[in-house]
Amino acid sequence: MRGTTRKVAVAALSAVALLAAGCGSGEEGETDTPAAEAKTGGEITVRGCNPENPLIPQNTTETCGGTVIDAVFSKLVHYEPETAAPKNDIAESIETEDNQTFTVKLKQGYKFHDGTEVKAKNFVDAWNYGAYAPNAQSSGYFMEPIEGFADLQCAGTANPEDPCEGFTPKAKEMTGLKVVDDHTFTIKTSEKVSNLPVRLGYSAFSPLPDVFFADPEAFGDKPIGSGPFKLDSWTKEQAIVLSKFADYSGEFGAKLDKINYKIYQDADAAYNDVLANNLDATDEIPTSALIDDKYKTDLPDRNAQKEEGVIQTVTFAPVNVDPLYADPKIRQAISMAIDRETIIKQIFNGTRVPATGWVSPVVDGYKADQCGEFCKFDPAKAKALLQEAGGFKGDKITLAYNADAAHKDWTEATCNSIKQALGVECAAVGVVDFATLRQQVGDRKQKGMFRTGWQMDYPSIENFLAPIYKTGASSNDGDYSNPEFDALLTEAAAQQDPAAANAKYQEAEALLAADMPSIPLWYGKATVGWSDKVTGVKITAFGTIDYSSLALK
Amino acid sequence: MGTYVIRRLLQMIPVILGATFLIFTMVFALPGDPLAGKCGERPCPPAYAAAFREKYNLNDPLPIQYGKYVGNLAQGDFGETTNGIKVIDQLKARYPITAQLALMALAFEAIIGITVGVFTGIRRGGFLDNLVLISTLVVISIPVFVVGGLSQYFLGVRLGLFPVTVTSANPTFYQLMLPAMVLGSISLAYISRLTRTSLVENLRSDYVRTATAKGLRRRRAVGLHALRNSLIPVVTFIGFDFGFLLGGAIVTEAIFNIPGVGGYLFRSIRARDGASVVGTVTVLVIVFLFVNLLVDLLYGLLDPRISHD
Amino acid sequence: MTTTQDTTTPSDKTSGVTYTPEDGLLLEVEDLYVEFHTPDGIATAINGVSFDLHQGESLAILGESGSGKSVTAQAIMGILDMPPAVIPGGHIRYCGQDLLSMPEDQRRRTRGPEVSMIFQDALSSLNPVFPVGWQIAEMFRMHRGVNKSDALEQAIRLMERVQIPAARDRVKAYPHQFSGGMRQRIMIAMAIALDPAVLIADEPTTALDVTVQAQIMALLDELQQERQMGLILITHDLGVVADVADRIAVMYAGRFVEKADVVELYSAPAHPYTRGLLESIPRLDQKGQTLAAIGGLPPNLMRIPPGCPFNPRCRRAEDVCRRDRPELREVVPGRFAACHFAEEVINA
Repeated sequence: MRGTTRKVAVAALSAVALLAAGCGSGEEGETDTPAAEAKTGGEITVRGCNPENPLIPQNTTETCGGTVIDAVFSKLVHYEPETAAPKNDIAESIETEDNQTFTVKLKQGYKFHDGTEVKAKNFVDAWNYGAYAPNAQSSGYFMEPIEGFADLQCAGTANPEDPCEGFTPKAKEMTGLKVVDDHTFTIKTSEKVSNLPVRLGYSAFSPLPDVFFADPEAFGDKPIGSGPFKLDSWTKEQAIVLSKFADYSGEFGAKLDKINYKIYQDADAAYNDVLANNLDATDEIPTSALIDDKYKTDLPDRNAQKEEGVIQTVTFAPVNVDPLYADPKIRQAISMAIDRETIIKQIFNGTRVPATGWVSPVVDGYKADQCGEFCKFDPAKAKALLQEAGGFKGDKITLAYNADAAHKDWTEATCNSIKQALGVECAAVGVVDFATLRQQVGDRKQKGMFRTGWQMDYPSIENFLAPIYKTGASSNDGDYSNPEFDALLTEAAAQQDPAAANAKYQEAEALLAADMPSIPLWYGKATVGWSDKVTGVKITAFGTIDYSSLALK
Repeated sequence: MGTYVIRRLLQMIPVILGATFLIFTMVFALPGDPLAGKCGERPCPPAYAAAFREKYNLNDPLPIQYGKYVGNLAQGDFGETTNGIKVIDQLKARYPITAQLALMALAFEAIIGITVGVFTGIRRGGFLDNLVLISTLVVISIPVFVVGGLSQYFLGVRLGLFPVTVTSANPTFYQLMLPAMVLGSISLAYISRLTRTSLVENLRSDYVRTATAKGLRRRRAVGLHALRNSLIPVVTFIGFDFGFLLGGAIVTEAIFNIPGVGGYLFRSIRARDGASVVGTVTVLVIVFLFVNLLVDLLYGLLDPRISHD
Repeated sequence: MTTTQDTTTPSDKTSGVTYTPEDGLLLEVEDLYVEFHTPDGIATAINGVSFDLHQGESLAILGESGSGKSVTAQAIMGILDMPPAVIPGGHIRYCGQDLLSMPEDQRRRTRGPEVSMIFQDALSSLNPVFPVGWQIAEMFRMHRGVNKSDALEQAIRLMERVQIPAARDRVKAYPHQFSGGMRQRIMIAMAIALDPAVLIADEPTTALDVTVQAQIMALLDELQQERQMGLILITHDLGVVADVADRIAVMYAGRFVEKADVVELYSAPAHPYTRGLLESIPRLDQKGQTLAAIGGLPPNLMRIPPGCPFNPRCRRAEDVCRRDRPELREVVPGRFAACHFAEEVINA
């Protein structure tokens, strides 16, 4: 996912994530923190934020709603908290011979919170609902690989802002989805996809019970999923209460009986409550506590930090929009001129990790150092490289950012670093807000460099490459187009063996170093703190706290 | 007096309309997309965005948006927040909390402020007087978020004397005590100074001389004759302060996580939730105007020289 | 003092001290000095003042602003702010008892029942936020322990006595709702409520217009006669004084410069200052001519010139005036003046 500062996302994620579905129900006994005796049962309070939309999985792409959805809805596949590896949850098996037709078999006896059984049609109907454009579901685009998706989209011309006005799509169901029987269905993708099982863990692929279709609006306030927790109540803007779903038959059951999610407007207030042990966990540590790692002294043995699937980059405007940056040597020189470590230390108080490639370390397929020397700070080499390229022809380098979030400090620091190393003027330019920046980038009007970020949808190397760097991809802001790169992606998608697929993706990533369509800056880190009542706090690859392992001491 | 009240009520209408129009224009003309953050990091899909805009009339030109809004307002519909909750429901749930907080702050500042003011007014120049003058100056100079943050940390987290945040939907008296004191602290400084000055002035007046000449005890001349006059400006200040407090203490409510009107405004401004901001401010304006009217009437009751006709 | 009204007196809140005048001598002021200690220096407001007051007698104290007449009154009442006022010497005796050495609580109880005062500006001297009836009734409630409704009844009766029309209806009205003259009457009612022996009126009519002035003075006269009070009338206005006062004391720079019977003083003043005051009263037949005024200004009370304090402004001043301060001496039997040339002035 394209990103604004990860911090915002982390801030949003917060408490609901902390609701910690009970995972790893004692069988493997895997524990991260050297916990005291972890009990089952009990209830805790956790910091939360109010979901922006009604709680429908196909329509929730922001983190406040996302963390509730993750607890309440189980999917075919579940991501392991520590490795982000996908494990079958509702799926019994997902098989394919050609990476294009997939047979999904469901486990028997999985129940929704209202007692009805989870059947194949619950998946198929839910996914069709999400894909059907007039339903205006924000995660509908995840269904894009499925054959027949295009027929459910709008192409009206009556209103340029709304293609669905006065237009009815050709179909309501995708041809690529077929129910075989109550516990089997098939997925046919329009092109080969090597990591479909990995994708199927994303909330957009949740099944929906039959009651949803009777009244989607009421459902949004009191969703019925099949996850380890069920939603007891949602008092808007105040609190959400989740309780353990006794009939959850999967492996990732809840340890706690109840989680009370209290909504805070201010990170400091929540942090202070954790200090006083009034609040059991928060995943948003305010800046005031991050400075000089103050939170570590405030919460000894009660804090943790881990990398998450977020990367911040700086993208160059397409060559035809701004030819000044056309030469890859210039781009590489700029990348070498950025002192990532100092910036992270001073501006981010150590909550970032310098990037060495275009893919986050938390995902399967990550290979370190793909960027090589170009991502290491070396002012002398940078300058030499710039001279080789014939110098920078414009009068200054610009870096655009959206002024409605906290980016001014680091963009200015980055520009300073570039200026000092290369001897070229550099200016950080604020655009009034995120929407405006995205509009200008989207319209190909934004010149110079601009900040971009990516938050992974699912933990796969492919998610960091294809949506951004493939020719014509929806998030390809720099209009990067490399046929060799595209070919490697297609090859990777056809690989049956995940390891082989990953190898191909890594080859593709290596090409980016030579072309430098964007500069990798740093990976995000999530920081969490908790009270002295809880134990077993694990941070997932998404920067949220894993419900399953969270328990009372 | 009846005609006075009616006239004032009628005068309120253009004020409310003008204020809401101003706020409406400012909020919706501001940069900042209410869709930001609705779909996480990614901009929303066009169909979603279109549905959203349609629902909140964001496609209409500003005057038409305003017209529709006022039309709804007249029917008591304050619109919905961007997460689909009715603004009026939010306000209904939050106003009692803010009102309780306001009353507590008022009691705190009135009782202590007047008491201190009277003591220092009678004993001018003493140690207590100087102490109070300096400390009130300090309190007035410190911004409320500093006072709030410090007291939350030291009294709440460190010493555990008060709950650190409020957070619950039905806050108890005890939970609201610290925020009420923080909220009332600045007004307390003003009230004590105002009482002091007013009392000093009145003690010099002719009618106090008369009271003494009538053979009344000093206690009565000061405590009844002078004080009754001195409190007129103080009571009116307290009345206005009540109106102000009912507007919701945005900063204090954010610090202590109080689910009142201020916290709602804070959240809505951050989320660029235009309907919420305008709806809340409209109610605030109405409340404030009413309180102003009550204060004016109160002033007329307290000071018989003021007549309302 | 015995009371002449029918008041209900269940318990007397006063200390039970009774004051009886001997030979009708109510007030005896002897050699009174009052200083004001200010950061700029010491101002001597009253510089050795003595006089007597008997039952039924009215004494007018006449003088310019700053002559010390109000201070004298306030010193007698004991309502001066001490500090900055200091009384370094002198005696004030009421019915033989020294007020200055009395314990404060006992002194307080004389204010109202024994000695009372009315002031110049009734609008500022009455409390604006309490009804007038309440303020009058306060005297009965506080000094005599009378209950509210009875006290109010008595207030109504007093208001009727001072000729406020429709008193019963207006007893709940506020001071600002009355005219100047009515307000002054209310002050008077308040002052005589407890039937004091001495009434001090500090410029009671200065703020009123002429016809009302006459009415108020007439009322004061009437009340005085009726109750045989000793009345001290403080004023700067010679015209006002003429009908009501028996004796006049002229004050200048904190001292009496002349004391005489009113008729005698008007016909033949014994002090140049008094003469100057009388001559400066504008008369109809003086139309078109320059008004006669006393040149110069009263002295700065912190720096009173040696000799006669009036000497800088006196037409007759001679060397002896600048050197020796003239004492107040009996020029003619019953007439006192503080001038070296008093005899000449009388006969001029």
